[in-house]
Amino acid sequence: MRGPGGEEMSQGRKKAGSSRTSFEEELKRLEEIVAALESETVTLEGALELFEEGTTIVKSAQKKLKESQLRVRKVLGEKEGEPVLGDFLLADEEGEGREESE
Amino acid sequence: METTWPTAEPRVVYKVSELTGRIREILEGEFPSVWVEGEISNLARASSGHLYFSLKDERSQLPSVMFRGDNAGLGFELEDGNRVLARGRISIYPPSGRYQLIVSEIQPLGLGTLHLEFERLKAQLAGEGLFDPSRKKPLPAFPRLIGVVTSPEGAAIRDILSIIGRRFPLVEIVLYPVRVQGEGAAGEIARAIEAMNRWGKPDVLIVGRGGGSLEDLWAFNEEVVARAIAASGIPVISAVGHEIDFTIADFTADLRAPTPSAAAELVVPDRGRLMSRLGDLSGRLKRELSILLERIERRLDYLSSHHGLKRIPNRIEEAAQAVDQGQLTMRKRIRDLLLGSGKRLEEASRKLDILSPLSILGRGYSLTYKLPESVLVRDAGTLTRGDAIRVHLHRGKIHCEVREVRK
Repeated sequence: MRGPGGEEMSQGRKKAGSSRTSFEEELKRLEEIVAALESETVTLEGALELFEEGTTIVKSAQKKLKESQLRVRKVLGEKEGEPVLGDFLLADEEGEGREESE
Repeated sequence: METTWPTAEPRVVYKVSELTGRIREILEGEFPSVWVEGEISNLARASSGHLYFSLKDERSQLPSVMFRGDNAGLGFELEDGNRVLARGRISIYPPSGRYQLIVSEIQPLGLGTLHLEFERLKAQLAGEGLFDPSRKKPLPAFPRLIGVVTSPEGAAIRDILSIIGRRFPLVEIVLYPVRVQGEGAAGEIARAIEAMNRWGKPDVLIVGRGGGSLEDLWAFNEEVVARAIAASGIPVISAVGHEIDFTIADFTADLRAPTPSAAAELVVPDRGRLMSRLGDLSGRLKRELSILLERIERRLDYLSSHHGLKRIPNRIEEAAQAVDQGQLTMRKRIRDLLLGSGKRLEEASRKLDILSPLSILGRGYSLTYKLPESVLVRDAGTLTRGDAIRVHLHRGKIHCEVREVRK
């Protein structure tokens, strides 16, 4: 037994919950899943699979929101048209405690 | 030879200095303190420290002087082209016979030439269509990499990092450090915007600096910056810390933020709101599943209480067994799915109990078997008086003897 929702799901499942999947993609997929469940055509089997995938996505997306750390780098220079990147720390994080001048 | 005049007026003859003195008295008496608005021109600073200049408008000039004692605490640099409001008194300098304004106080009025340059460039770029709303690129709803072009030491980068870190730390920020004021700053800003575009990775750029005087912010009014922003394929948010005035960069940017902090608020979504959106979606997910289970339950209920019992009674036990089996599998899956949500699990399991035809017994139905063969009885005609039967109830069984058969 596999309804339209169930088929869609099998493609989405590979992505769901992966840390490489962006928050935006997860949110979009989750909205698709809820919409598919809300359509009357979904089968029990399909619904269970959608529910399972949706629950996984909710957990993964919540984890991302809670645990992500802002990553900051700065451009040090350029090499062959590509920027060379290095860590960036604010002045006081470097222990210099500089006054803001600009 | 004697000259004769047509009228016999008494002749009053002044000496030059006397007349000058009279005029001086009249002028000084009439204009002891006036405010004059005009533009500075021919500014000269004498070695004595006095400032000499003219105040002018379209038609006239007023020679002016500001003595050293008065101009010491000026607080800003006078320059030709500055529009100013000056206060002083009118006097005459007898050696030259020139009247002049002796300025005691002066206030800047806009930036004169800078202001003119601003208006000229604004008109020119607007004429080229660089400010057209149709050119504005939409910002990404969920940027992954945000490029920031600003000073590495200013308040701007500090504010931006703190706000984005709080709102939506799922992004990466790449700072392109530049000088944001002084000679050469505009060129650095423009080159940084171009470099970010060559690289192509950022989803959006924030270009700006914290607040400052109009002159401090001037780099953001320069043509090279305006053109780099207009040419950027990556959407640009201008973020120059000056809430009231616009810079040329603001006009060419895809979005203008009044401060760097505001730009940070605009560029990423808010984590708290996203959390509640996820909560909402998760709630709908659970609700839909439970609605679906209810629908299936009603269908099974209908089948077993009507057609089911009449048309396929033989299969009830078989079906019950199958449902039991299915129920086990379903329960296991539901348990996995709802792990960590005890209440939901209980509810779902309860619904599954209702699905089972056996649960019909719980509502008062019973199953009757003829003994000793244990054949399910579905027609009173198969029994006769005195037969032994066993009745299965929701809880327990009873052994009975048939006393009467009505068909």
